[in-house]
Amino acid sequence: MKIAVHNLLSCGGCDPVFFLEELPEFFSQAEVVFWSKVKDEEPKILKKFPDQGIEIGFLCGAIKSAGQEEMAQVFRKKCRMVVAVGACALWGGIPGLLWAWGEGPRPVSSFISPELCIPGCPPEGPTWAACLQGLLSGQPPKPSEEPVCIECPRNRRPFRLSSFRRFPETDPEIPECYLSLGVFCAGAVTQKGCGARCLKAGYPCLGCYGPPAGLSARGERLLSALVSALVPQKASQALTRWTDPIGSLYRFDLATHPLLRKRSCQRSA
Amino acid sequence: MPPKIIGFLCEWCAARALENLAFHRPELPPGFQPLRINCTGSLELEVVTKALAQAEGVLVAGCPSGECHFKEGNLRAGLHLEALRRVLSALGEDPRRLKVLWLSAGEGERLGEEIWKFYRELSHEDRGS
Ligand code: SF4
Ligand code: SF4
Repeated sequence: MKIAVHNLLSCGGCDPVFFLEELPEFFSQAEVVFWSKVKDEEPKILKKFPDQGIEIGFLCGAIKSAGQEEMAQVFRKKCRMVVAVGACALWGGIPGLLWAWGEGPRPVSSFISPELCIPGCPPEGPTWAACLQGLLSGQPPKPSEEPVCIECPRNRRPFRLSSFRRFPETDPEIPECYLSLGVFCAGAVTQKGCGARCLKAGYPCLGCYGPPAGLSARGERLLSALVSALVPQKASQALTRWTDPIGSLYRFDLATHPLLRKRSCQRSA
Repeated sequence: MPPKIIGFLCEWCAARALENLAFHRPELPPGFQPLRINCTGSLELEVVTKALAQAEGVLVAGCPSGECHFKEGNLRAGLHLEALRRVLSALGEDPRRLKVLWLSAGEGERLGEEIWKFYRELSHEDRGS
């Protein structure tokens, strides 16, 4: 089975996961014909392959330059199945934060339609394994409707807030849900599947697995939930003390925000 | 193009104020599109952001403090929209594109004036940018 791997605009952290213990079974069957990170390669090498001549193409990262877009198109043409890997490829990811300052990158799915999307920053081993097995058996897993909270070990109960807090201001000994401590934990608006890795390591979820199936505007929803919990008399003060709105609400999917998409359309018009 | 304004009007006050105003057949800005909602507290922030992506201005009008039909829907809405303004500024959007107004059913004329004022502010900005 021939496979091709390429990093577009990304930190390059997704494909090293191929070396994880969970995946040798898959990769022992694979012949890597193109992997620009391992060997400096150009699109023209890929162009020599017949159309659909490569079984699976993995695209990691978002798209900003014309060269990156060309590469995505070549992948679409030459690979029978294209797999978009990681938060950058799916929603713009961390490079997507560039949109806060000007024109940023776009997700792979705004240019080509992939057969499968693997979420995460980077995707966890079990997620990879489940997705690849599903892909090869012809039944790729569907995105889950359930949030990370389902997998989270922290205690949940009703709460009111008098202020927001940043994670370093919390007491690591208190095992309560981060939202009840006033921390913007994205777990409630993030698809499960990672096994709540960060929560189990004592850190709030940043939201790298993207929205659960069917949930739109997750940033607005998280904000709405936390603001609803504020005691009205303290709310204004809490909002002025709130630092980093973008990082707390749109860390991995700013590039898909409707207001920014509109801005980029106006510029190109 | 004249600026488009989407107005979310609470049915217990602002929407009635607009109906009362309508008896006088006033002229309203050409791009003003009013929508009746159940309570400003029921307005999802997602809807407001989508409206801001479609129109130059978004007006949210609800009952004055203490007069909400659902006790504190307007109070909640005020906080949500204040929070959204912070997000808008962080996104590099002009937070003045989102206008919040508290008025009662009898204040139709004031509603009309405020819509025109908002319209002029938006037209002015359009020319400025
Ligand atoms: S919001 Fe965060 S801390 Fe709270 S239950 Fe969900 S994942 Fe856990
Ligand atoms: S807990 Fe959240 S940020 Fe951490 S891996 Fe899971 S989805 Fe990603």
